[in-house]
Amino acid sequence: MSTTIRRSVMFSRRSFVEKLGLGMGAALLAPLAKNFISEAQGQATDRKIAVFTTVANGMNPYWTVTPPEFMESNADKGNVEPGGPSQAVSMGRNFTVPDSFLPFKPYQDRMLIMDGLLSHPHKGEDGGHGLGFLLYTQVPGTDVNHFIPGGISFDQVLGKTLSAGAPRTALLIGRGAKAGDFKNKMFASSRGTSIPAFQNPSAFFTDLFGTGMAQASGMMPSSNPAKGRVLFDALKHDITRLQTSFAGSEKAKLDNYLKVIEDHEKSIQATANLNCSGGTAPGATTDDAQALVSLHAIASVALVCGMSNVMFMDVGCGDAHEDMPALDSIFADGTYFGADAPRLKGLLAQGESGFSGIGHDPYAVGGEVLKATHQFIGKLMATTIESLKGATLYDNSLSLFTSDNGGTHHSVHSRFPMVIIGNAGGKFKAADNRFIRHPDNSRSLLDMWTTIGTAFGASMDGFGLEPLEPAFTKGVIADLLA
Amino acid sequence: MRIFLFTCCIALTTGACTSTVNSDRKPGGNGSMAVNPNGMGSGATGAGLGGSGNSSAGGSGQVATGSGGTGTNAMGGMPLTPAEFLCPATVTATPPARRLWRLTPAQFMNTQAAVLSSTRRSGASPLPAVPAGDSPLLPVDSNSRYTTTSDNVTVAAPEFSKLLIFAQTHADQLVLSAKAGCWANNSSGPGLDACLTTLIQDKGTILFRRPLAADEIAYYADIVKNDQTANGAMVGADGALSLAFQAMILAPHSLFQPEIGADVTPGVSRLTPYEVASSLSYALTASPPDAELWDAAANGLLTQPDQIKAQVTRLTAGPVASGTRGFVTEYFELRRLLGVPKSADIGSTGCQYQRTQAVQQAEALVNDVVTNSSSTGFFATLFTTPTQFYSCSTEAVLGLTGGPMADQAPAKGTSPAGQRAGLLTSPALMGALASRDKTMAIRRGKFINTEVLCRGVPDVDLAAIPMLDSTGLTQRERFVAHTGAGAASCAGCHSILDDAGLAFENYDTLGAYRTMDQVTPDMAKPIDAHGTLSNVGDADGPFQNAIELTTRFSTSSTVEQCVMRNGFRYFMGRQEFGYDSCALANAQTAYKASGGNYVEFIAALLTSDSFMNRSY
Repeated sequence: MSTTIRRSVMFSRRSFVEKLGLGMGAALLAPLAKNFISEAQGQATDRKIAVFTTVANGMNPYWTVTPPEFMESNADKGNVEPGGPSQAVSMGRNFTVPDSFLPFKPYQDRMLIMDGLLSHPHKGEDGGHGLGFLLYTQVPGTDVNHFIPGGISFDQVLGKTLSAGAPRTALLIGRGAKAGDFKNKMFASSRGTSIPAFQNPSAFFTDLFGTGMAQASGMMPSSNPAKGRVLFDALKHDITRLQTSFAGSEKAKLDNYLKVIEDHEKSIQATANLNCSGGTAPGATTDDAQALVSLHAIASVALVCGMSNVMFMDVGCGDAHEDMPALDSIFADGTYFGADAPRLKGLLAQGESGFSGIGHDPYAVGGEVLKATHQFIGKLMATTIESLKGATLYDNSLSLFTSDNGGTHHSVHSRFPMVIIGNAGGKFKAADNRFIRHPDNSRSLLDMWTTIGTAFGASMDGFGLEPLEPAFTKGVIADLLA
Repeated sequence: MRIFLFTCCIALTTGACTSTVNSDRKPGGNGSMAVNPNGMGSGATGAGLGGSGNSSAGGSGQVATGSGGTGTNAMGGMPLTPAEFLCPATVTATPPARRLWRLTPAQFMNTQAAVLSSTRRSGASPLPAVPAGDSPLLPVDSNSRYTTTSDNVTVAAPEFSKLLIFAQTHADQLVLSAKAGCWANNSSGPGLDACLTTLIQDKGTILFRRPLAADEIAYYADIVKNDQTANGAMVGADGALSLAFQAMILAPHSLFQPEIGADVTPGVSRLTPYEVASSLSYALTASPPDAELWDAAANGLLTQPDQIKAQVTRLTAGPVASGTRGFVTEYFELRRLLGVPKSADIGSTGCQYQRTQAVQQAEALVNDVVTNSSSTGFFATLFTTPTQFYSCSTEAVLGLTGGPMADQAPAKGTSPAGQRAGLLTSPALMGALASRDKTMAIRRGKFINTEVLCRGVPDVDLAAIPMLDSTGLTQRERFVAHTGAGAASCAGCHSILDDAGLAFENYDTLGAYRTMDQVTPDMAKPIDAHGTLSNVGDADGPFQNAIELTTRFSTSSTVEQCVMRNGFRYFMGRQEFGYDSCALANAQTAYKASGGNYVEFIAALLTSDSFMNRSY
């Protein structure tokens, strides 16, 4: 059994920055990373960290999320609605990491993959559209369409315990195509009281580190110091050219503008040595993938810096697959998928309607694109795990990745596959490289959240208050507790 | 309650409050003579207060630039006499210097909205919706009489922080719009250069109000390409384009109107057609040139006065014309009331009195006069119209009934006979020129002298003046102390301030008409608003009340010239000086010849050499 480990922090700045270097979020946080390294060195911690990530359109167990050696004999990749009976696997060890979860391969010794979990049905139906809205509450919503959360969401349950004393109960971020649907309905502090998730990196940064700090540190357009320098150099170039046409008080206006820019640059340089109280903020972006990278990078820093101990990121879960954000740019070049990027871009182009319609596409298109999407998100999660490792928080953490629908986007409320990395400080039995499939939906998501909450020592009072059918409320999954 | 008054509000220390009509130029701001482009300064007599420059370094973007002039230009610091509205046969003064005219907050936001639009707006179309949020550029500070001033206005540090945030957000939006065009398929590869040229030129011509030169396009294109190289193409393509757009939005060519011109003689240049288009458009519509104006500039049709006048006429009649309304609103300081709190017993909801209602209805009156009285006796109408707009929130103040609810369009009505005459007696201005619970006759008198008669009144350190008990006295009774025994030093200024201010005693702190002054809770005294003006030319003479006074103003050449001087300052963004005699004289002549058509006045200003010529 694992125990909480106390030792000096050996934070790897290089590793952190390299991992963050997946996108725009990296450089902007480099100065900050440098400093919380030094700040954290020599310290020990017993903080416990929970990181949850969800993606829309389901995780089809017949596609790329089941270890091949445990694939069911009746698996049919053409079956886009795979629910129903499944073949139990309780303790499959040393499995082959499935394609969708390849970014987690370095952490396979603490990896648990589960399949077969049941979700409470949405608005009296079998599931499908809108199931995402009760993913973390497991209680039907308060309005006719169940769009308003029916109870406190799991992030808040965990946050009350894990983030006690921290500035934020939970770091709630994500991106959805339908902003209103997405951000207001996934998380709630109580029945009917939604908590919006941040979709704008700049706003998220400001919320964490404050407007004053954000402005003092630059709020630099284009998100990183190098781009800021290009911008300022361009402005100075223009001003200098224009100055030659003026004299006296009119030239003084340009002199003043030039000085304002130079002073601003100096303030940025001064803030390059900030610690966990701030850094250089990213800006708003219209690119969903870029926004996710930036949001995730900020949240990772905030976790390590102790702004909160709970982070939930949601990629498009909500009312329907149309909530899926457009992540086209992850195939724009070889940054994420190397030479395979053009093929994936081509596949996406063959789909029904890009990412928003990926749930309707056959495996040859949707399966491949979803696998790549899971890998992209997995890479983001891996950067968080790396930063947790660097800050000796890995041993106390649990990172979970799942979808808003079991199976595919239209699935019945069953067969929610998920991958979990970490053991929550030794209380959660994730090690041993296990694969578990609960047969015939014998356990529910509510059971799973209750189990994880229990492992973290969180009070589960108030969670899942609505009377539910017995099938959904069997209590903790004892086999998963150490 | 004991009420105190200053024994003398205006000490005769500068000689400014002599018996002659004087310039209203005051230190550091409105009347400042600071704008002598050639460093000549003002001159004539000691009355000229000269320009001390604006010393604000705060959020308005105005910088401390030191002294203006105390020297010799033909009009500086001196009374604006009728003779100075004459155009000499030979103009010896030099034109104003080349100028950088920073955009106002409204101009900036309208420009950004235009850039985001896919096509250049036709003059017959409304302005596109401006981006959400406040403008990152801030209004000029309160020392500046008009929001359009160019004097010392630059970009201050607080503005730059806001500009950076705005530019990033807005540039990202521009990238998004670019994706609907060539950028969708040419963010890299062989089509990149052509696409960048198109995008940079399209956005740049609106931001800079002129075509971009080839080297400028190449410069911004290189920003894109270099950034793509440095950051990769995954998210680099859009980010790189955004970076270039940010550089363009924040460029001095974007934030300022550079008035450089093309040489006509050594040391003198004349605005280029594109510069004319920019200045015309911002002055009259607070937005960048529309399609018609742009085409005229591109075709070289903005070089002759008649060509420019045709555009002025078109723009002032267009759906987005804002220049004249803006000038009148600012001239009468109709929004000043918003900064003057009123007593706690005055409500702020429903049909209770609301300052915002008073201001909005005064602006509705301005709009009405501009719309319906533009071609005949425009300025006179501003001083005489009995029309008022009102709602249930202001009907009691105006002595009217049946006003609509405050959230509905105001009703148009006629004030009770003998109670209102034009905007000087509007509740908005009268309320603004009063404190929470006092009518402030001196404040009103100063406004009449400085803004209507262009007669300067110096600021005085009120704290240095002893106060007397004035409980139970009317304003007129209190003012006896200004001219009584031992107050000789006060009389110089108060002799011109008191009567002009007391004329408006019929309007209480909200601007409601009254005949009695409730000097104490238990005592009311009749209002006596009579007085005499002297040494202000054809505005001289006795009057019984504000109605008589403002009616006289409506026919006074002195007042007309003063309004025109203010119009010059608003539309030109600077103080007038000797070189501008012809512009002012011709504007007045054109206005009179047309029977009082304000378009003729504006057209004369905006086709003048004062508008077109620059020295360097």
